[in-house]
Amino acid sequence: MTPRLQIALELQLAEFALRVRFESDARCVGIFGPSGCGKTSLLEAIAGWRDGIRGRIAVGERVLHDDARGLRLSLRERGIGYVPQDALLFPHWSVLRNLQEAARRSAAGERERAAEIARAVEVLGLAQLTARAPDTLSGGERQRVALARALVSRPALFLFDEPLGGVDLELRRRILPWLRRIRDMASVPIVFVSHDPAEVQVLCDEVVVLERGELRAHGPAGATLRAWHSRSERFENVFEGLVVEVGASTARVDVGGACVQVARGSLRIGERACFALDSDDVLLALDPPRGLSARNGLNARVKAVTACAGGSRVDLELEGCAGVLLSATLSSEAVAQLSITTGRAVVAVFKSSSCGLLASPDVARSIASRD
Amino acid sequence: MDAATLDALRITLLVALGATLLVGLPAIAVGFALARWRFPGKGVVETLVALPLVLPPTAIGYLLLSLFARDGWLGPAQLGFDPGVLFTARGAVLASAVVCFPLVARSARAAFESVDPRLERMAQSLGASPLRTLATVSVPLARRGLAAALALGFGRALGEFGATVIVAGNIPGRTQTLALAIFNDIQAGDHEHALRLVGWTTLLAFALLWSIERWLGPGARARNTTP
Repeated sequence: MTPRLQIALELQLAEFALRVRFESDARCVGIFGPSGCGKTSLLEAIAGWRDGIRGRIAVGERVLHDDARGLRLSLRERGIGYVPQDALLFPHWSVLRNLQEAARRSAAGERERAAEIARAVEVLGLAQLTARAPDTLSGGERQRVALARALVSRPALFLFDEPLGGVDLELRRRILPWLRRIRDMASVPIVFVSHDPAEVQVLCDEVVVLERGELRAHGPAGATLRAWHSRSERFENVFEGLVVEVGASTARVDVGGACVQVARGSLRIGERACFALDSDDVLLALDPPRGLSARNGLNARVKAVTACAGGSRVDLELEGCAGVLLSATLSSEAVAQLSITTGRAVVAVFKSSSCGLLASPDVARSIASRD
Repeated sequence: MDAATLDALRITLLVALGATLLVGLPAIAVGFALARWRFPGKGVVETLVALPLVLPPTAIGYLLLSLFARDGWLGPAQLGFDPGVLFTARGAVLASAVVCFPLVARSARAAFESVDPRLERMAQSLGASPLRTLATVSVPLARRGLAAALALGFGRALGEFGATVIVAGNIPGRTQTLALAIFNDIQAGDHEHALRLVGWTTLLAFALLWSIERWLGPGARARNTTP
């Protein structure tokens, strides 16, 4: 089981005070909020990079900071694998040397450390980069090296600050599964800062929502973000499933009882993959539509109707798969005309091409084949 | 070049080198402390470090002279032995060192301040001790600035006159540097010899400044890394 993360801290920032108090047993906790809400400051506070912190920070039995006991572990005692937004690689060392320095902390022998580095290099696709200097790398490459460096340092807690921030969509697809892999394998908690709801849903079991330094919500990632997003126009649905059938241009993905048609891409049967579906791209029909080009018409039941900036957000539960939620945004007029209320049976219609692949299974495949 | 000029040149270089070596480590250490640490009385330390920059070198020389005089705090009477500072090359090194200390310390401070402190924190978060962080991250990243600081100190020591003449005297072949020899020649009315010494001094200073610019100045990195 993942050690419990306990955070209770106050820190005065330039414009507002950061006041965060939560506990979590999750493998991965998302810190979600708009830029400038104190996400990075929170990570730096946990890492011990900030002065003037009041409160208590603990990972399982290990207390990193406790005012009551006058305890404040030094940076090196904290055992933290921090990936800041700007990667912060050591500019005077090669990529390999950066990794070697991080691996020094691991108690393992020389050979085992080298194997660990080789593994991280392979998994993150750094083989071509090991001899390069950090200032010759692209943003995405730097992020991957920083992730590898955090990994080989064998920390007691991972802190990831928007590791996919400067990364293009294709690379995000490649790195996300690997982050999930760390999450599934690591027996230490991950704190994952992001302003991207889809990323948070793919990676995090729980999410903490920050606004101007204040904790506004904390709970399971999907539900919390849905509730939080009632104020904005759109919501990115994220679902994960198993590829069960591959056709000429679409693939069928079992999301736990119901099947969704998605663009085929390079998917193969038997793979697990994550997809994002914008709530704006989901239509609702009262009866199964006929003669429709959209490939998906899923029976669902309305669980909630919430007013949002663009009209109403309708949360649906797919028939046959309990717990899988899908949100659609409709105009208030449409909601009224179709008399969409809680409990009503509807059909959710969307195109296969509206389902964007979030995390490609390629990386997971290459990892799995070696195990 | 006559024997006297050669002597002066040799003494000048040795004294400047000695002063740079003597002052290097402590000045860099002080520069690091000023760049990275917060401590009570930091403002006073900053001012003390800058003081020799503003004091007339003759005043510094006189203070050193009083310090090492027979009955001074560091004189033979107090120590029980003769430290051999006054009117020796050792004295010239010490005088130059004191005068160039602020230059080296302040430049070293600027060099360390140009290193992103978050890199140092990252090193420690990854498990490096503060000493290892200093040796493997701070100093290597500040190395160009630190080298420039030492070169600056060396350059200042080359031209030192006021403090040196009071502490070490002006003894040909023993403590007479180029700066002192020029003064001597002018006093003696040997303007032709003085001019020759000025020529040598200029050449030396030019060579030093040119190498600093070449190896440490702006654009040097591009030149050095171009294959």
